[in-house]
This record gives sequence, C-alpha cells and structure tokens, in this order.
Amino acid sequence: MKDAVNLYGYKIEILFGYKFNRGSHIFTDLVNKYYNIKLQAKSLGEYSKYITAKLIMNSLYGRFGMKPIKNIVKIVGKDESDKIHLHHNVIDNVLLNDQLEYIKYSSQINDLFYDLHGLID
Amino acid sequence: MIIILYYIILNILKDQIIIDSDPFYKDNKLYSLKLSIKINNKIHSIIIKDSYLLLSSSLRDLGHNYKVDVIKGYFPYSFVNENNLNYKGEIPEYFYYYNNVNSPMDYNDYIQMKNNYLNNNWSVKEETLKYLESDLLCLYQVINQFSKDIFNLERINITKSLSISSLTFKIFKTNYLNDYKFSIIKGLHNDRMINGFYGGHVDVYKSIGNYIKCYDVNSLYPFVMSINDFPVGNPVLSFDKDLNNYFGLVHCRVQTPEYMEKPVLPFRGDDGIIYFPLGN
Repeated sequence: MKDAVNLYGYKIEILFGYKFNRGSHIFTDLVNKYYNIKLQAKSLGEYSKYITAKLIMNSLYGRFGMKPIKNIVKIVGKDESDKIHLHHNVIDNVLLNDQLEYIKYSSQINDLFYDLHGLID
Repeated sequence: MIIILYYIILNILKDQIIIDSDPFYKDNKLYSLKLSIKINNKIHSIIIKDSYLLLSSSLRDLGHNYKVDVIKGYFPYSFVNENNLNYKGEIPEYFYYYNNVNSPMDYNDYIQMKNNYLNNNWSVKEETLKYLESDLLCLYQVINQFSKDIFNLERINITKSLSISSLTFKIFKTNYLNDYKFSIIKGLHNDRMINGFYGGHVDVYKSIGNYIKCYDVNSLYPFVMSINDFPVGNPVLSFDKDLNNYFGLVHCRVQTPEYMEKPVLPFRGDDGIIYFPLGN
C-alpha cells in the first residue's frame, strides 16, 4: 500500500484503520530450521523428511487468516432438533431415521427469535 | 459424505447402540466424527479423523516417499460389477488395471503380478479384502512415521490436530513464539480485516515468446515470512489519516493513476474474482 502511494502515484483517503505492534523476525527460526532440514533431506534422498519439512513451512500461515466457523453440524434427536429449528437459521437438514436428524445451522441466534422473545437469559 | 459414513458405521455396529455422534464440519468438509457407543452398559467413544487434511497426497505417493513396508495395491475397479462378485479364475486383463484414472498400473508390474495367479486362482472377494487391508496398513504406517518424525523434531502429539495448518500453528505456538502475543479477532473486526486478505498477483501478460528464461523460486512464501515484519499484539482502532503512522490494516478510498500497464492494488468483485482495476 505504501509502495503503491509512494512509487506508483495512487491516491488514498483513509477512513479508519487498525494499528498493530510490529513483530520482527517472528517466523525466522522456524523457517530457517525447516528449510535446512528440507535441503539436507533432498541431498540425502530422504523423501519423507523432505515432505514433512516442506508441508510445515508451506502451511505455517494457514491458521492466521482462518475464516471463522459460522455453521454447526450435528446429528440430533427430535427434541433437540425442534429447539434448534426454533432458535437458529437451519441451512440443511436430513432425516436419517425415526429418531435421528442430520442438521446444519448457523451458530448465531435467529433475529426473529429475538423479536418474539427478547433476549434469552 | 457424513451421511454415508454414518450409515456404514450404523451397519457395522448394529449390535451395539450408537448413543451419540458429534461431527465436526468446516467449509462443507468433515474434519472428524466422534461416536459414543454403549457396549455392556459402558460408554466407549471412537473418533474418526480425516488423514488427508494432514498429508494431502495420494496414498501411493505417500507409501513410496515414506518407504513403508506395505505399499498400496492395484485393483481393477471397472472389472467388478454386480454379476461377478463371486468371480474366481483368471486374473482380469491388463486393460482393467490400466483403466484407472488416478494411477494406471505399469505393464511390467502387471506381468510380474500375473505370475502369482497362474492357476486361475484370482478371486474378487480375496483380492478386495487384500487390497483394502493393504490400504489401511499403508496409511497406518505412513501416519505412524509422520507422527514419529514430528515428535522427534518438536515433541508434539499429532493426534490432537485435525489439519496440517493447525498442527504447524501448534508447533509454532509451542516452540517458536518467544514473547510475542497474537490476539484472536472475532466478529465485525474480523470480517473487516479478512476483506484485506488477497492472494498474490498471478497473471499471464505474455503468452508466447522465443528464447524464454525460466526461473523456479523455492519456498517463496516461507522466505517472505522469514524476513518481513508481521503484525502482533492487540490491534487498536484508529482514525489517523496518515498512512505512514500505520502498521496494520486500513479501510480507505483509492484513486489509481490515469493509466498503468499493470495496476498493483487488488480488488475483490462480488463474484469473488480478484481484479487489478484502474479508477476509483
């Protein structure tokens, strides 16, 4: 962003932002360690170590930008299913047999339920 | 998928009673399934996990790379149909072994295998069981080896992590975090910040050329992570107008230059596709 403004002539108007602390060389130790393991394993032909090291390096950032889990999936009995239908937005449900039901719903409480009953204690 | 799995398990364990099942599901993918079963008035639980989330390559490649004793076998999938489940006799033609989309068998391997079945003793039932058993053994040995490697390197138990990303995060958190703190950001602020995440700028600008040089960059993402500064600690909402005072994320209006051959800032359209546009 700073480069876009300083080098390429973009103009920006900031509405708001989030300031973080600056952490330097946070991942350096881990990356260096596994990069060396990967190099060594490649020269010795140890493919299992090579793959392990490569996987760990490449999946290091995955958790940091994780999407929040918004839906819950359960296999429930009839009573609980009724309760969920009342309180949540059900996205998908399949009857498995007489007693059990596969159900997928959003974890947030349904707005309509708020309107009807107010906040739940 | 989960429903199919559920029925399979229900059939296998029909003498017992499944009293509770607790699937963990994310982005339409089943990560794990916990089943509680009542046997002789005692409650036991089984947790089934997806190994593909830890090691995401084909079982055959994994078997070769991890040098395990049992390698995944070959099976003529298209040979078997509802009429020949009890088939016994000559080994199926090479065509059926070659016809696998994922892993066609090598002809020399086929000839070698054929020598074991010279007395017309190839039976569908036995071969299916053998094939399934070798699958399970191969996967077990691979996971076991992987688990030992990780434990020797980092003293971490892999069975508590459901995916390779969460395992790596755990390794990082346990052994490399030092004094830094990361905050978990939820709700509105998370939704806003996630809008600022973009993949890299990957586009073809010139599709044909002569005397082209090729460059293969090794471990580019890890390298970038190892030399650059990253945001840590608690974020603070700010209405500061000066970009230079920020280390973090900003929400802003952008005006690009009149003309650029390769614009640099990305924009995600309603269709989810990333553009590098000119304009406001």
